[in-house]
Amino acid sequence: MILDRLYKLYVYVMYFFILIPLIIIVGTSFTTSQYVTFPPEGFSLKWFVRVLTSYSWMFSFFLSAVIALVSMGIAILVSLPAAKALAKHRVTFLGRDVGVTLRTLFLSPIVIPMIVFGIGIAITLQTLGLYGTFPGLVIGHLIIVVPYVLRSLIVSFEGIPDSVEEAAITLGATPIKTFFKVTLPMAKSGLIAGSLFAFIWSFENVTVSIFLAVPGLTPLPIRMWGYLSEFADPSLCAVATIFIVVAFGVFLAIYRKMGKASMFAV
Amino acid sequence: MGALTTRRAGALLLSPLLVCYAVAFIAPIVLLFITSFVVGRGYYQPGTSLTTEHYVHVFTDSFYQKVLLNTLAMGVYTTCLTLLLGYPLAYHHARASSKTKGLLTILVISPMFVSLVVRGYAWSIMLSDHGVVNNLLMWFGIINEPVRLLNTMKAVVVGMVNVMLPFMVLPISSAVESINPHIEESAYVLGAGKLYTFFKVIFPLSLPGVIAGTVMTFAITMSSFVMPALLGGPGFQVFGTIIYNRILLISNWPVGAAMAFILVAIVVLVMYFQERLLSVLTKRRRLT
Repeated sequence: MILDRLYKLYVYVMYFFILIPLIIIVGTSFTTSQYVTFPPEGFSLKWFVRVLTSYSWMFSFFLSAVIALVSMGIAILVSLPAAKALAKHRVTFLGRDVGVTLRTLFLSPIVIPMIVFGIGIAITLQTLGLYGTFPGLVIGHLIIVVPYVLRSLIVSFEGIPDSVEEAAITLGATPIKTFFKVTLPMAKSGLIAGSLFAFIWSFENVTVSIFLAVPGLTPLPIRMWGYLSEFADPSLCAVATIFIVVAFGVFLAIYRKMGKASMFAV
Repeated sequence: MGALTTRRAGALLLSPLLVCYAVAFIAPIVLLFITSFVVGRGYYQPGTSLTTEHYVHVFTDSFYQKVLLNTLAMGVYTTCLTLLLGYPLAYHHARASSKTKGLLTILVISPMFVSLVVRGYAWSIMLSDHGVVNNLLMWFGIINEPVRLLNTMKAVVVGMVNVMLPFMVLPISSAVESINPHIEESAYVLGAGKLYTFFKVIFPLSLPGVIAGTVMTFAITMSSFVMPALLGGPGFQVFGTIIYNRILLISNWPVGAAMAFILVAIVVLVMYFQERLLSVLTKRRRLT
């Protein structure tokens, strides 16, 4: 039927529309010209060479990676016990069950405009004397990554039947031993997926970082933002292509670990 | 284990996260809120006096009113277009076989993993006067000379729709997925046409997903500043770009903070209506 055909065509066009920015960037990064054009002219790796040998680009790249790794690590450490409490314990405050309220609070950074945190954290860090420091950037990124780690951990913990942990305790394991030997291994894939997500969200973040970055401590997306307004030559596309490759690597790792269902579990 | 020990354990287990949120979530929001009332241009420091003039200024000054209208227009255009374009895609995604669905999910969400700066830059290349879009339109003979796309609202909306599609497609897809395919089949068997079945059966049942996607899209679009700045040009001003400008370029913290809180208020209001709408919908379904 012609309607079905048209619908199929539409769907393909839309998938293409979603992907087109990535195609353009990767394509342009191999150009030989001095300015950005699409379709690109010729084929060369000179922009990659230029970027990979540039101290400032590489510094920003590694800075972003380290910020992402450290904030991911802290997020895991604080989220593991909290997710366990929220998924498996009754949390009360002054005799009232506050489990749901706390969960809403902890996950709310997902819906509150990030720009609010960006400015708020900048003020907080200035008050604490941590503005323009590495720990300051990590604190800022915590609020970006914790909700995602926490959410996937809560979902994983809730998927573990209480009877499994009870059996371990009945057989004489301490609660702590039960957690590390039984609960945590069963939640492993959720933990890995949540962490990789956290890494990516931190690595690509612009909105919070832009209010925290200072010269000399500029994460990769902010350096790209600054470069864009001054030069905008194809080296930006080369950086972006490397960025895309890294992001896709992490993404495929998540995907092979998880499949779609648990990636977007709420 | 008694009930008391588990309760204590709960509090103990939550305390590291609570400390993190106190520093990185509650303190920033409280300080930002106080800053929006500070006299002068600095951020809050103990001892500074407070005023509501920044809110009054933002609400009464014609410049800010224009910016607010522009922001709302960007939010509404983007949300409507994303819903219109995204729904058919979400339906296709939901009804795909489980094998292809994996690949399609990767396609839909992969751009989310690339920084907004990169995607904005790509669109600015495509939408420039001699970019791909203009060249294609001329090649097809739709236009004779390049039209100005970059630095207009059109460019911003195109870029934002591109960014927001995954946020719209995924919730709708999972809502459609949860509709039993037999319901659709029985509608056909009973003689309903495709379009009739869609509007009378599928669309109403997928409304929770539609509302979730719409609210998410609207909230994120309203507070965005990367796409508006890269694609709208210097003349295009929305809340996001003005906040960026006030804080980072002319360091007028109180006005930026007040604008940020107005954004939060709009988002909270929209989410409140979403909640109400959803509860009305579920109640009605229970009655019928």
